[in-house]
Amino acid sequence: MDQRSMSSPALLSRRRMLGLGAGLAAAFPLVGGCRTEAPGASQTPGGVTSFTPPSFIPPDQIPGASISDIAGVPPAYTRYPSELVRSVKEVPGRGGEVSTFQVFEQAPPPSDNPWLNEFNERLGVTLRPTYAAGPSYGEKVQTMMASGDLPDITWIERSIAPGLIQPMLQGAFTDLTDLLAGSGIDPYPNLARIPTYAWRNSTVNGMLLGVPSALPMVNQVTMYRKDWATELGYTEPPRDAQEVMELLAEFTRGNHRGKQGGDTWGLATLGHGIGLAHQMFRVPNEWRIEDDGSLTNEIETDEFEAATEYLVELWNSGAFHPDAATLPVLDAQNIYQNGRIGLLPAGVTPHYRTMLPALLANVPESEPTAITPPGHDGGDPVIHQEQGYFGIAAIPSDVGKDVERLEELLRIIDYWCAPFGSEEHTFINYGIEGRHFAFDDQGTPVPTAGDVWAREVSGPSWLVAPREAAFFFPGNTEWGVAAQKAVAAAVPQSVENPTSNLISDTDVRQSGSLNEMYDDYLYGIITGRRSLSELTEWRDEWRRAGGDDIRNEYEDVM
Amino acid sequence: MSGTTPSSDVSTTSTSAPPEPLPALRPVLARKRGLRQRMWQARWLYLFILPGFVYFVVFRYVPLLGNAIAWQDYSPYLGFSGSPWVAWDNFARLLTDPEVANAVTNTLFLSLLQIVFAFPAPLLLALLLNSIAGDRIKRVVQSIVYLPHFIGWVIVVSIWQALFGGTGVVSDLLAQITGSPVNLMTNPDTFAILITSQVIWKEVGWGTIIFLAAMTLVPTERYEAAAVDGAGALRRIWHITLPGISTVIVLLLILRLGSVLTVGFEQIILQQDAVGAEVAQVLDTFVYYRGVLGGDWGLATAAGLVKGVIGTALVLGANWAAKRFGGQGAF
Amino acid sequence: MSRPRTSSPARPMWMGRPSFLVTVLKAVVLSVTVVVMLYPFLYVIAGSFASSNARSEGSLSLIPTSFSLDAYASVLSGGIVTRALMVSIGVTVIGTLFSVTLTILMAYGLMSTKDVPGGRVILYLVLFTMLFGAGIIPNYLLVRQLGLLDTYASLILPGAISAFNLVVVRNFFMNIPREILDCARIDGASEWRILSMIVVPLSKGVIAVIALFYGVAYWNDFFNAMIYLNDTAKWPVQLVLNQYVLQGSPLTPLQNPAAPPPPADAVQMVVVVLATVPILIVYPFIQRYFTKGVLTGAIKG
Repeated sequence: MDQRSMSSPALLSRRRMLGLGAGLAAAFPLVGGCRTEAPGASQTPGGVTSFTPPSFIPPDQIPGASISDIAGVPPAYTRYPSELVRSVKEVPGRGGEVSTFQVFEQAPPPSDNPWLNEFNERLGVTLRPTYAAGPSYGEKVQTMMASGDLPDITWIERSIAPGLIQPMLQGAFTDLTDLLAGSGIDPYPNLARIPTYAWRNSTVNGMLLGVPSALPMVNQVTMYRKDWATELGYTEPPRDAQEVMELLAEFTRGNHRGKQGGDTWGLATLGHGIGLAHQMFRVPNEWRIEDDGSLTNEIETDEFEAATEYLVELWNSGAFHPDAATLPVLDAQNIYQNGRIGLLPAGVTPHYRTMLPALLANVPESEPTAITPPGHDGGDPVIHQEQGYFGIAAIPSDVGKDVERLEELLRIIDYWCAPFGSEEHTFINYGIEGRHFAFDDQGTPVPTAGDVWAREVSGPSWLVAPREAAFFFPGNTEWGVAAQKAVAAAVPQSVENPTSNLISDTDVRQSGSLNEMYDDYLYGIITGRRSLSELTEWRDEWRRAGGDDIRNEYEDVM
Repeated sequence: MSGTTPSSDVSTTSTSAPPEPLPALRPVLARKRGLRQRMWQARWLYLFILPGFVYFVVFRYVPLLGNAIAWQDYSPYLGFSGSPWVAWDNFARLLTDPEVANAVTNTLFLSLLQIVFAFPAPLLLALLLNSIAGDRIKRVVQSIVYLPHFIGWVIVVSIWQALFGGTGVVSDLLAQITGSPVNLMTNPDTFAILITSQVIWKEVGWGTIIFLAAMTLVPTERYEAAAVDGAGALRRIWHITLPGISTVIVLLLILRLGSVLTVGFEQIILQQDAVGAEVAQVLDTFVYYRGVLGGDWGLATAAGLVKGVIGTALVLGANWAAKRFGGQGAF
Repeated sequence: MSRPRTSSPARPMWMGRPSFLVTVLKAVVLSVTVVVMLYPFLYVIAGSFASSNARSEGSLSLIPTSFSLDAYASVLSGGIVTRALMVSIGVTVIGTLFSVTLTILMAYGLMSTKDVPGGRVILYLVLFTMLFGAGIIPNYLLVRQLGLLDTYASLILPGAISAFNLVVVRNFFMNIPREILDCARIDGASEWRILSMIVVPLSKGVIAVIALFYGVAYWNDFFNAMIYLNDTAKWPVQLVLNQYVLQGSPLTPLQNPAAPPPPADAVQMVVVVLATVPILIVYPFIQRYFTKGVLTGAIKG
């Protein structure tokens, strides 16, 4: 009877923020891993029916583009192209209506939305969007599914609604695997710009069920306050775990200019510290494949134990904000932006697009600097790759049965996916020139003052448009390359989660409570509520509560 | 309590109108007449009941059929007809989960604290307000204390955090007194107190409303008579006010018992990480992690049904007990 | 036997004069309560005027470090909130009238289950709805089947009667001295007349209370709207405001560097203020019915 209260919006949005804002790895062990081959060149994960990804068209070398030769590193742009190419040649739609299901975390647009009107004209159809207010997403999509009302293009975001995997496996959505494999993508050139890892990671049991909205494969950058460190006498970035601890404790304790504003801390949340320690201690990305092919969960490893021991020390050193166990990510970001936090990992785009400008506005003399955490012993760290996509735009199987309709819908999604530098991309992201944005003297589109852009464009356009898998930060164009550098430094040291596109039924059902157990034990141990020796008990309990079943199920399909 | 044959056959009204009895005799005759006559007599009352009855049947009972998915491995895609039936599997999974005992214990403990402390708090406040002579002060105070009801839990928790958290004002003060850092928000030993205090703070003013309304029903003459007998303020409360509103108190208490397995889901889940599941896992959060997040609709529905059965037993039991001990009961 | 109603705030005779100590004690308890309840609300109001992120540092200051209306401007611009306010007011007013009417009728009908064959069963049916509920999927399917999706009716009908309110009203009705009603029956009054001329006037207090409960429930509800309304133009204010709270989330992709959006927590506070103000305005009008006694004696005479 309380399913209603289960939809508690605050809660879900909090989870959502934890999950996405700060990078999944930092808050949840939802994604996580093993040592794999060079990223980008990764093979089809064992066992599962071999998946042929759609062919990939690399980003164009337009003026201002910085294209990394490391696979999996997104392009960066130092300026907005002065000549916008047209990426779509024909009107994609054939008239009629197309319903969409979109997540929406904005004030609602006006019913007569000029942006949408123009988009409809460009697409040659009339879009009928259903907006799910962010927190209601999981319930609403499953409710509409139950009533057979799923819109033609439906946004599927498994990280906030893990239960969706069941209907996906049962055939709720059109399987695009064969249609788009290899050169099958050719009719949709914009879709061919989507990085291969995003396609691959979004498959379930080898099935491609939608078009992914790509994120960087390593989507986390760690910033630290170099100005504080310098004042404290640390001129070089820390070289091992001990130095990191010293520095973080000094950020809290020591006398540096940040103190002028009040108390300061090394780290804001436990999640941030956990992410950092796991990288330094080379904890596997959720699972590790042993030489005999068996799987070991991260919590079963010695690395995890060492990292936990370190975290306990780190907690005792005073590096953390006193409310680190509960501080919502948004609050943590606020404190950071106010110049009170010494080190903070966060998603690449949120960091450069939102947090850095805010920090520099509040504390102009601050010098936030990206670092790669060192290995605990001075060696290399292990960076955890994330899922590399946000969610997918899927087409319900009832709708996709009609091949012509399917192709029309894919053309519409293709339009939506227009790459950076195209005229369509500019329209979808920035809106109509004059109304929603203006080009500044460097030719960068800047949203007009007020919130016309936020109201009319930002929410309704949010679906598959590539927003975070290409680095361009209007107003701070040099940061694009900085962000790219940070990711490029991390990618070679990164590992993927070997189970990331495998499905374990037990995992789907139990992930909620196992994650809760994870937080409960780990937070408890770090903050001293539990002793380190309870790690053994945790491992046993985890195995009993489904851990072993999950392992077996993964091993079976690998 | 009535000796009538329970009949759900409400819609059938007699077509042949029996002669009206003399109005004065009606109450007397009511019991002795046949069912049809009594129903005819109550025709206006049936008419009054009808819209509500239709509402309950259509909007409350029809969807209840959906609870059948408690016996299914329900998938929204396959739907009700396509999902496989799994007999009592969901209930078994729910009840045999090793964590459920802890969750139920915590739930009951928190519920008990709330019934003992948070339930009477608005009553006491209402009595206090009622004892104020000045109407204006009474209203002003009353309309301030109900304000927190409108602040959502996210903000309530952040306000409490700002006061009692690691960097909070009160914590600083306490730390200076005790000499060691205090963080009341992360202390598992005081979690139950924290939760109960928050509930009292948020809902005490709102809760006064219904008690104040009940007090308006106590006839003023009784107070006057008591004053003549020389009864003091406390004795007036004890002998007049409380008995006068006792049926409302009993009713609310009985209804509260029905939701004994429900404690503030949002409030608790927001603060659970800080103190750990051992003290902060309640039935609803358990179901959320175990059922809702994983799209395990069958399990979540089964949990709702189990709660309903237990709630029903408690409500009926309490109602019976209330009548047994001379009260009116809730229904 | 009727007495003149003491409508002035003056102390009724029977109350007597409390001792000085008691008065002081009461004053202290009430003052402390008021401060504890009011402080956070002032904090919310102060926070809604904050212009920088400076507020979120754990200090419970009532005076924002810098005053700004940015958050209000951001929420109120574009007329969307205003429109949603109209929707909410409409739904709340109509819904409350509808719900209160149905509840009173049904509560009166079920008041004396002795007189209504089957009444007891109906009462239990109502009661069970407090204990057993359906999940959102069956509710959605029903609303869809009835053709109510995307209609304002979907915000009212599914929650039209609260079993709790019904049982409470019935309980209050049962507290009305039986003799009054029987007298009226002997005088030949119809049930409708008894209800409207005697029961309702005697129950102003409880009716005000459930009107408040229903009103606040309609006002605060955004769950039904979230599930049943696809057309954003029909969204009530709580759902719209709720969207603003989400705005600080990572989906916010771009901003004008010259005019960054107001701090997320200030927006959150604005939302609380805007969502509460209408209730604050209406409250005193309802409050008088349950803080002032009804003189049953006066009516009896």
